[in-house]
Amino acid sequence: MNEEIINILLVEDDKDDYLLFKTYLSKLPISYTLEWEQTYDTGIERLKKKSDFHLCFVDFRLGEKNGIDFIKEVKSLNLPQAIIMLTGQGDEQLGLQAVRAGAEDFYNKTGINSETLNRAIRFTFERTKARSQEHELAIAQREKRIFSTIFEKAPAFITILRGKNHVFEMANPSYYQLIGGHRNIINKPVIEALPEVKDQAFIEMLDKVFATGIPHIENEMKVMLKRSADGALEDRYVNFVYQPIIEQNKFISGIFVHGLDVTEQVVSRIELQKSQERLKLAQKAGNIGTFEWLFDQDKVIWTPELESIYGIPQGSYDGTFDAWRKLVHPEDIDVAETTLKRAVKEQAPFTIEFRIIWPDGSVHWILSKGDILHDKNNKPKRMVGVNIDITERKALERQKDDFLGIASHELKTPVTSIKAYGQVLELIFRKKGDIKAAEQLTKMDAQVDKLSNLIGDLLDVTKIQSGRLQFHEEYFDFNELVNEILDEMQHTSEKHQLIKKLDKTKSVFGDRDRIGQVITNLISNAIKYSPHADKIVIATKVKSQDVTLSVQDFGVGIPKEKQDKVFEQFFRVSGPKQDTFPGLGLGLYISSEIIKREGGRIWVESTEGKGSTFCFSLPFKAKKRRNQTNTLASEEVKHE
Amino acid sequence: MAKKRIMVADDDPSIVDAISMMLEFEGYEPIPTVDGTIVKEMQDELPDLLLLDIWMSGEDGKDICKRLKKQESTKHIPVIMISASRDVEKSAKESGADDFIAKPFEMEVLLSKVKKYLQTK
Repeated sequence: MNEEIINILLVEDDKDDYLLFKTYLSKLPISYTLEWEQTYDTGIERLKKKSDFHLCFVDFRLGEKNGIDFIKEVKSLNLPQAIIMLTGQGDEQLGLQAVRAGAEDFYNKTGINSETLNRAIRFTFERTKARSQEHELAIAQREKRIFSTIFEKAPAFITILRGKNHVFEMANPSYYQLIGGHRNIINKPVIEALPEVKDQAFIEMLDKVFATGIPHIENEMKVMLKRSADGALEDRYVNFVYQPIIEQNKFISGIFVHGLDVTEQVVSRIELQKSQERLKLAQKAGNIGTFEWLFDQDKVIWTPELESIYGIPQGSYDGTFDAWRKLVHPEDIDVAETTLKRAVKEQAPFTIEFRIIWPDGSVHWILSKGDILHDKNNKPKRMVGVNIDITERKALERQKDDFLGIASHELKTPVTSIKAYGQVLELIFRKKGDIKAAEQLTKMDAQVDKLSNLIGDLLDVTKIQSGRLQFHEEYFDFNELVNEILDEMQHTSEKHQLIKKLDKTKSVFGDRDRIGQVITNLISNAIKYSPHADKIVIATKVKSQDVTLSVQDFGVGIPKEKQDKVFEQFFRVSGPKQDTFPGLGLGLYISSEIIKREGGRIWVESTEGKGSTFCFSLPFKAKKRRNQTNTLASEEVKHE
Repeated sequence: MAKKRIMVADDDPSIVDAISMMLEFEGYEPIPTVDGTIVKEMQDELPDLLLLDIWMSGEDGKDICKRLKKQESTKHIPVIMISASRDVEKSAKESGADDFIAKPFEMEVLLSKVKKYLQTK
């Protein structure tokens, strides 16, 4: 005897056939239910609604549609019921089609009898039952696998606490990672398993969730845990949810805990905040303020330090360019503004010094440095920079300049009298006929000239740096100046022959003496740095816009990596065998400053060991000069 | 022929001394002074030429020169300005001096300038 009840649906448009089927069915030794649908559509609907049919018999002939379409539709809808198609006499082919479409079997209803029907039903039923059990088992196993993977591998920590004492029922590896892998927590209440969390508010939260059934969420909550066996407390930060587990009868059986350990993020954020605070502190201490000019919004953002540097109350800067403009010294604003706008236009970094006036009227010096930052499309997006209060430095520089100015001026006075005495003495000896003594005095006079030139250089550097170098410009014959200097220098140079290669030149506009000073400097350098050569070539070349002068020597030369440094202050070339050449290293710096101020260019071409060619070019036309460096103050010193 | 009288005004005595020696050698009569006020207030026994330092203590050489060049009695006296600054040319022109010399100077240059202005007088 079989205890199982087989639920059967018959889809059959012929009532007689239904009755016949019903009769045969009643004779079978099985427990069953039978339901009947007369049309294709109602049959499908029935199967969709009621899923506990085990078997569906469908007639081939169903009005306009047929049984094979029915089978196909049932299969395409993924309905679980097994289908047997009923066919007429000799419709073997149809039966095979039905099986191909997904039917379990086909049955010839004209030859219906109890024995064959019983066989068809039983076989199909057993076969599908076995298959569906397998299927369910596979699904269950798969679900279990998925769940355990989630549980085991999830970066989130998960634990289940049972009962009012919050006893650990299960916990995943991430949870152990949080609390420390050495612990044995299962079947222990939280307070026993993690005694250190007492008074850290967690137990109270769990109690509340258990009592009320309302979930509890926390973000970046700090928990101190003994994560290692040695028992030191460690700070961790967690985001978590306490989710009550509510059974069907509304009874709360426990709490599902899941969350994330966000310690790394929190710690790095705290570190960032700390470093920003340190930067702020440093800015405060160093009198540095930062600004940011957002071009698209035309807005300027200042740090609070910047407001104190500008002597205005905290929070009073309104973010406009104009507000800054008003704080800058009227004499300096044009240059400052031009520099900033040029930086934006050329998208280049800038450095500028300018004065500002505090609301109390005091004048302060600012050094501003910044750069342009671009967006993804390489469009200039904002200017970021710093302002540094350099008032104190400026005062010291001024003091240094004044000191050097006075000191070198004071040095000139004794040098002048030494030279004068020496010359008088030389004259006396010459008149007496003591030629040897007179010659000694000539040599002394040459040394005094050297000393005097060094002092002159010091004075010039001081003037360049304080913006007090004066120029007296006029039109003059360039070649005439070159000839004059060459004659004079050839006079004092015994070893080197100065060879002239001069183009016909037009007049040049500039300070004749200062330009002469540059030519003299280049030639005396050429002599100085080619001790083993015997000639120097001096050439002028005229182009449409400018004249170029070059001084070529055949001396020690300058290594490539040092060539762009020669025009810097205090640069000196060291010769072979570590020889050094005397000098302060100021001559080329002064020369380059003079040429720059005259609107020209100065450069060097050199091969180490073969010699150097120093060149400068000057425009014929008087050019409006760039405001010298960015230092703007220019008062006369009292002793000039 | 009487010796030409040249006033040498500088606030540094050694310079005044050295220049005076040079002038004596050339047969001039130097009138040395380190006091700017004397130069400014000169009335009688006017020199034939003035060598004037730009930076006199107490008195600005430029002011002295301007004043002398305005006064009817002194404006004919040639003034050669002397200064340690390379910018002496500008100061000399502005204050109406006839010529200038930068310190330290070559004796020949000084003497030739002196000679030139005494001849043209």
